[in-house]
Amino acid sequence: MEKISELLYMLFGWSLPEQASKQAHLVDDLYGVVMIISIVGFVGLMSAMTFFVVRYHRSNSDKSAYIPHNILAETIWTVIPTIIFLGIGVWGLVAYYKMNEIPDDAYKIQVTAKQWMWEFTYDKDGKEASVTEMMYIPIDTPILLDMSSVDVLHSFYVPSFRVKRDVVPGMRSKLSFTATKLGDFRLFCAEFCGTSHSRMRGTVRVVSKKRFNKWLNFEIKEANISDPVELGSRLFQRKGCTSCHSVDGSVIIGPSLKGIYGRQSEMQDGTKVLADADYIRESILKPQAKIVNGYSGVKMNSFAGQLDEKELGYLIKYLETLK
Amino acid sequence: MAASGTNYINCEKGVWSWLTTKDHKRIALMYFFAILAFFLVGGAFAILLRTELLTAEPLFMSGNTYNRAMTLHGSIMVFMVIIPGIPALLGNFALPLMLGAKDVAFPKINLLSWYLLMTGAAIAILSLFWGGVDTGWTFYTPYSSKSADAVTMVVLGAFIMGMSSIMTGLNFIVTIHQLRAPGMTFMRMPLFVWSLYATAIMQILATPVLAITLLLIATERIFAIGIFDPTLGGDPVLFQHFFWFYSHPAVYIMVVPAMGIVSEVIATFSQKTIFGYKAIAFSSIGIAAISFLVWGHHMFVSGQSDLAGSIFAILTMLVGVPTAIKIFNWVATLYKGRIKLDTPMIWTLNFIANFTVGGVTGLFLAAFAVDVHLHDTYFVVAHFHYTMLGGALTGFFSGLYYWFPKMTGRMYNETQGRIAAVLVFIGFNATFIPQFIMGSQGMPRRYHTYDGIFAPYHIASTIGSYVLAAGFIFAIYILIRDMFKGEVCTEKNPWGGTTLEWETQTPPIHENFVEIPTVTSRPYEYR
Amino acid sequence: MEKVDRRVEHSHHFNSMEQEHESGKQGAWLFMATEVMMFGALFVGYFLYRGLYHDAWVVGGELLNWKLGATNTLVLLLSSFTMALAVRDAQMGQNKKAIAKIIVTTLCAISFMVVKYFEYSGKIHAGLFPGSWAPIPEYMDKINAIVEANNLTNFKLENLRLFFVVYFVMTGLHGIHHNWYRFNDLVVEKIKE
Repeated sequence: MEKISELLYMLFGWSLPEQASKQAHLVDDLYGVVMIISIVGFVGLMSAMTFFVVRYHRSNSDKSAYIPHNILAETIWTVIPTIIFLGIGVWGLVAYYKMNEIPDDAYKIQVTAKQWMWEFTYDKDGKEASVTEMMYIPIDTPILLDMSSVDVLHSFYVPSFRVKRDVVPGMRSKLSFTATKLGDFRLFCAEFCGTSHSRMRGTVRVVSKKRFNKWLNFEIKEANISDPVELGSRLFQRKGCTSCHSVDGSVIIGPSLKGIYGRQSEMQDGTKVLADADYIRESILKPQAKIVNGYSGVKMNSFAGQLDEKELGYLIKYLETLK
Repeated sequence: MAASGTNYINCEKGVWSWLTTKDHKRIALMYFFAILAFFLVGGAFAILLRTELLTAEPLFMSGNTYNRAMTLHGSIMVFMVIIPGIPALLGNFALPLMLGAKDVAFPKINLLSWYLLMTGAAIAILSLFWGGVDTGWTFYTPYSSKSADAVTMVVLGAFIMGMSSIMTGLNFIVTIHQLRAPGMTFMRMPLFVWSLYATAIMQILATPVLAITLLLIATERIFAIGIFDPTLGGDPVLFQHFFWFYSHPAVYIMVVPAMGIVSEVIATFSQKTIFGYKAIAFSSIGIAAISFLVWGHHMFVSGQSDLAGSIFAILTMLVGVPTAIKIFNWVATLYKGRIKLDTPMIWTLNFIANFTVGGVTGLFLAAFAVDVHLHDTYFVVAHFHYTMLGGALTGFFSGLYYWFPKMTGRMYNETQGRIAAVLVFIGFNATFIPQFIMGSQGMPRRYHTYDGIFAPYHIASTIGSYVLAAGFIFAIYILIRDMFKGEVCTEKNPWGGTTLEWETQTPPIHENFVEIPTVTSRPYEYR
Repeated sequence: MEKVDRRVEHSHHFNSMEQEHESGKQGAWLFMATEVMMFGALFVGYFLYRGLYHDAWVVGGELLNWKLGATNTLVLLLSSFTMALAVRDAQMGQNKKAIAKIIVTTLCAISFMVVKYFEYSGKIHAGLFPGSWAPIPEYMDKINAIVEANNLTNFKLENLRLFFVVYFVMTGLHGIHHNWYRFNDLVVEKIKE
């Protein structure tokens, strides 16, 4: 059986994506067989049609035969197609049910579709982590996706795995598969969902089980940090503050923030200002309001709209610790 | 147009006599101009789309513009061209003549059908000025309930056009029941009539469900009530059930009349009796009946139950059988015939080639497991263009060229006609074969931007589409030019056909027949 | 009594008056078939949701005014009867009697709409119209009472809203249909006269 699978994929695989899941061959085998039947049928019919048109062209045919019907021929080409079509139908069913068998120990990931992005939520020991765009999964592990949409219809489609299922608001859809190859595989939204439907793409990254666990632990930790100072420190990095402000006293572009909290500084216009929480907040949201003396030629961009109240709080808590 | 004597075209003059006509032949001509105009508009959108798709990133359209162009291309082609196309145009012209009747059963309703189509079309096209629609011609909820565009207008236009379709179907059924010439039993009717009969049954039973579905979308949008709204417990997938309950029979409404034309043209241009008349006649009815039972095959991955999917999968396989029988019977008709490759015959042979591809690719999609991979990809797009364009529309053009002399009293330029037909065939296949391949490779449909690996296929497809467009523009140009300037044809039966329309004057008199003929045998009796 | 058709000539494309009548009747029946398909789809939706949200359907049913509904049903039945009688009168050439019955039918149609007005405005004032869903406290009490009385454990308020969606769509479409055909009949009668 496997040999036949391989042969079929050798013949027709050029028109298919790579086979990166355990169930891909279930689709490809039937695809190949239907392809063969189609080619045979099509070539047969077209050959007959072409031959007849040439051989019985009016220029070499004086009189047409009178053949209103032929019971034998008609029976044959009624019964045989019926058998073939029903055969394909049954095979399609069996393959489908096999593809959708969900093992009890499948690793569950929650998928949320929204205009126009994919969000993947992982669960470990009761703690959750959500990432977007890229879904990490371990190789050779049955995966179960539990999916829903928050707005309109979407559809989760990974061609290399041969999986697809509509993601419906108000309903939870399930999809399961086992990835058998390492690498990055394209994820598409396959149900029209509006303006940026064609950009609602993502990647499924298949990694070793070891690497997956490492990644998962890191993400869970990241998502479940509760220490405000730690969160503030991460924001300080992620939002790019470190590119202009050092924490060790050296000057990069803007003033170093070492010891900023409680520091008295002289402004451009000569006034002296105490750096408290309000000052720090204002400097982040309206940097041009008060410029420290000596930094007049430097323009800091505002972060208004990029940080919510909570995040501003974490940053301030972090800056308080920079002595 | 024609020079000889009085006929239905010159018997009355003036625009008003046309706009208030109850003559099925004049109504057919009015449909002719309207439908070909709609086809050119829908085709223009297609060319815009294909041009935009030359590059993986946007070329000259924003996402919203692309989505609107995509939706209008589909909506125009489905509701304004292919569904009315053959029944309202060629059916209207040929049905009463083929039956030996003087007109359809309800001529005033026939005229009403034309006005309904025009009104619905006007509303749908006017929506462009309100931003157009971007939901895709399938209007899936919840997106269609929420989209900011002129959905309600287009849906209203489609509703009115649906009424036109229902009226035509009703008219044809009663005409076929009541107005057959003396001696014409059901088993002596031409196969085009059988196909119109089967189509009419689908029209009157399926279209009302579309009407309700469209009404529900409009109501949701206007009153914000939310029958498909999941937050109320409504089911968005229910919409899909309602929609496809109509739209699957709809695709057979589109293609079965074309199959009827193929039967006529093959017999006439082989000068041979059709092979398997009964099988072809009953297969049309069989397709009509089974077509109501398979709608769920559009919804295999939608979230419907697996049991439902399984039942639909098996029933879908069955609907392929009557279709296959027709193809075999047509090819068998060629055997030992006296074949002439005039333009109508070339279009018809193209139908057989294209529709066979369309049919077998349907097998891929009906195979439950394979559809999981192919659903909503370009494979589906190619499949339905092979059946609708390569099939229904090709049959439509075959019929237009076939009945052209009878309709206009003139002959089209044969050499040019053949060239146009071949150009369309080449352009068509060049456009859509690459789409099968990229579909299998995972290229999703309704995508404005795409992953660069698919670029070669898109470019090839677009080049093909330009050839296709040139072919169709040429084919239409020939028809319209020669309608007014073609060589005059007064022959009653230029093709050697055996159905009753070839026994009357070219073009026919207003009353169709001087004396209603009596029928003593089936047509296609070439002995 | 023989039926008299006031027209002397049948339309030119028919062979006889009989054929024309027969065709007309067939056309009417086919049209009925389309109506069945159209409302049939709505009934499918009704029964589907009734099965899924039975508790909400129980509450919804109790909130509807059965007296007004029954009245309208009788009015419709009566008007169908008088319309059919009117047709018979016209066929027998009894024009005055026919016109009288048509007037009765029209009065029935008007009273149908009046009753409908009361039904609908009652629901709308109670805040039960799905587009502007905001049930007034009095009705919330009623709803809770019904839920308690019938021990409806699966009742959800959103599902009740869905009930009223189906109610307004189906009865609204029904009402529009009546008016459309009444209007058509009146216009046709006027033209014939």
